[in-house]
Amino acid sequence: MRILATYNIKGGVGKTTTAVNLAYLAAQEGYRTLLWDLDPQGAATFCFRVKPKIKGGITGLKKRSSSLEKAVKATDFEGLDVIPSDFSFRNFDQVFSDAKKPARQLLKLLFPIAREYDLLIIDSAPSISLASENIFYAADALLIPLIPTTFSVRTYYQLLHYFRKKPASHLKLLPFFSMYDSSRLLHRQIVGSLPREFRGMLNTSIPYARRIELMGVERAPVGHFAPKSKSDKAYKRLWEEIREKVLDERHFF
Amino acid sequence: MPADQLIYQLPATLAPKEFKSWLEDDHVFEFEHSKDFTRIYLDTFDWRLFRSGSVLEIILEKGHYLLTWRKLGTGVILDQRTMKSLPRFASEFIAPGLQHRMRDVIGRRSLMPQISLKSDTRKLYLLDGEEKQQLRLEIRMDRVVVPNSTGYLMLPTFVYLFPYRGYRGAYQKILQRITASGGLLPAQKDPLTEAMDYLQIEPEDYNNRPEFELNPDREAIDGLKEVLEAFRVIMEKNIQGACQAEDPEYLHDFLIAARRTQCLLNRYPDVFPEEALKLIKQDFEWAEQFASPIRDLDIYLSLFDEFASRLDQAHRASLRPLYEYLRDQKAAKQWQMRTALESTRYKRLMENWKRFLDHKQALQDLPEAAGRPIREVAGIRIADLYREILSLGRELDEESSAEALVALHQTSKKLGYHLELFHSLFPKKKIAWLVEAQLSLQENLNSFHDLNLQHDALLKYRQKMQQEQRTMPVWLETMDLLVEDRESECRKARLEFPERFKKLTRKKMRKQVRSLLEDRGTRGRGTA
Ligand SMILES: Nc1ncnc2c1ncn2[C@@H]1O[C@H](COP(=O)(O)OP(=O)(O)OP(=O)(O)O)[C@@H](O)[C@H]1O
Ligand SMILES: [Mg+2]
Repeated sequence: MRILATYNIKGGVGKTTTAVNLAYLAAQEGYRTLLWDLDPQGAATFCFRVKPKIKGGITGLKKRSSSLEKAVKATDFEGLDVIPSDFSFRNFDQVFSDAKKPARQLLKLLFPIAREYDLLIIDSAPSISLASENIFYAADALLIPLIPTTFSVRTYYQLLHYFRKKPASHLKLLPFFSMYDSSRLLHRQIVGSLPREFRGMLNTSIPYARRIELMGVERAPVGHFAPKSKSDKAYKRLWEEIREKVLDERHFF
Repeated sequence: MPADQLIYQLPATLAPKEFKSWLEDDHVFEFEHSKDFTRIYLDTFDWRLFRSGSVLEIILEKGHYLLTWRKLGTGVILDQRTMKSLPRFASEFIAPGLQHRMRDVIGRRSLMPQISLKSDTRKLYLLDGEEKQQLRLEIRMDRVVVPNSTGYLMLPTFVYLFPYRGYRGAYQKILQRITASGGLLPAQKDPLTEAMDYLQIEPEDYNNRPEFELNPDREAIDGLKEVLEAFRVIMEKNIQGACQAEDPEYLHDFLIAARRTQCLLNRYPDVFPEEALKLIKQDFEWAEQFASPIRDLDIYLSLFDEFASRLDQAHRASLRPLYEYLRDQKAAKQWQMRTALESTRYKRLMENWKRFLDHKQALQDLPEAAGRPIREVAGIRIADLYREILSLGRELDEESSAEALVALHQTSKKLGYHLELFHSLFPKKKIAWLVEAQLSLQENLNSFHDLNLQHDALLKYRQKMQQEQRTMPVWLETMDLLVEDRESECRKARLEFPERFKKLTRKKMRKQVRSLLEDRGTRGRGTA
């Protein structure tokens, strides 16, 4: 099982939107996919109309290794399951800080179900915390949505700085522009003149689009209610790029 | 908890429409009705999925294929997912997990459409308060498409349940409703079996390595002919697939049969009439020379994923020209083989061969051993081959040429065929040792043989590219890495050889083999 996580210290940049759409596209292509909504606010869970509740909450997960398996819910889409969010996940750091290797707890929880899926996508809450450290440890790659503003670029520097101090060599960083509004000069300028630190940036940008905003109303991935729309196509391109970088590399063909 | 039963039969007295509205009395469903779409059951030509107790069905839906792999009879889902294209081989399932599970069942065989249905399906999705689906129920009215005709055969109406993970309660509720209050009974026969019965399809017990239980006292000529006839049928079944080259397994099975046939033809001059077989033998040899190199290339090509996994990204890219070169070579050889196997010469061979096997000749017109018990006659071959192996093997050391090892490989293979085909003629106690020791040696010689071929092909290719001045440093590096790798694997196989060979030379083993000859069966006829 490959593990991807959306991540950004900043909130409201498109993490959840990305996680939901990519999980849907991966499943459509035949990867058995699991989406874990690690954000106690449960926006991804909401998008799939699943109840934001895990029996026993986070302490239950810690106590019984089988709890995670029982928490899994099928979505309405073939090949795509979710682990719903639970409000108790706001206590992640507290609950796991006294564990033996606190940063490895998430991966440990995943062992019993890892064989059932080809791909896990984690949607994370915006923070740097023990929870995010767990994600960095478990994930093969981080998908980092960046809004093309100077401020956003700065937070990305911060993140790079953080990883420089804490080398996690296996972890691929895959930043890409999100909510790109081509009618705004600033966006155009930033996207057009990428500074050198932005090498490794994915080629696809996700446009700012009303359709994407509507996901919260439709409660479904864009590809489902607006297939072949500009937004759907943008996510498809993004998914293809990510798939090539993270899933295809081990195969010769 | 008893195993789930997910396929039910709708009583003929209950119309799907009525059943649907009865369900809707109690629960909220989202409804979808699709008419006249095609549902296809996929399997290998020898029905490997079916015979393993599973069913693979596929429909085209909203531009994607929806694939359902389920258990035969109960309908329990083994895997269900959408895919962008119709997979033919296990390797074409993009997800590694499914790929491996599929390969365990179908091997390298290709999947093909076995049965098509025209379907009229009513789908009911059970919804909760958030309009989230909790279960899918399908009422399927399928018609079997009769191949090569415009006819259809109507199947009974089946109700399928598709429980959703994490919504067990919803499933139990609906199950209770349709079985307890609705009175629906589990499908007596799987819908696929039902369709197969309609079309009178019976998956034959195809086996590329048939087991023979010959009567040890049977006349040698009869026993051998029975074995040869089985292989003749296998060749016949695989020839078309081998020529089409889609699925390497056809060629593989064709060769298994052809090689065993040739071995038996050459090893029994005291049983078979020399003159009548002269032309047949020549023609078999001629045909095999086209087929064997392709099999070697198939094995080679199947290794590329493994090669790739051992190289880094930069070197991996330079594998592609080699892969393409081998693939082109295979295509050329394939074309030659096809021409040969579709020629009149091959047709004539097969006609003559069948005639020979069918024809019953009087014993007095046949060579002397034709009428002796098969156990005795085969036993002599086994002992002879065993001795040949011992003398070839004893001459080998680290310095010996690759050719010497390959010669031993050939002889060992022939002993292997004999043990595989005739082991049941002998007491298990006496033959089991030999079977095991031979297998262990054969495994070692096989890998040596394959590695050696690959090694030579690599060098030849490297040379060719250099002559054409088409080499780049990273490419040369990759080739050298591979050559070295093959060399070191070959060395490993050589180092392993003495150990494996020793098992065959043990005194006890020699005694066992001798005793195979002493045991003359119950009729006590003939002299060795
Ligand atoms: N490309 C886009 N175009 C227009 N609106 C978008 C786009 N991407 C996201 N949005 C909207 O922006 C808001 C924030 O997006 P989203 O929830 O995906 O961000 P997030 O990074 O997960 O936020 P949080 O940090 O709160 O978890 C949502 O209302 C979403 O509908
Ligand atoms: Mg979010």
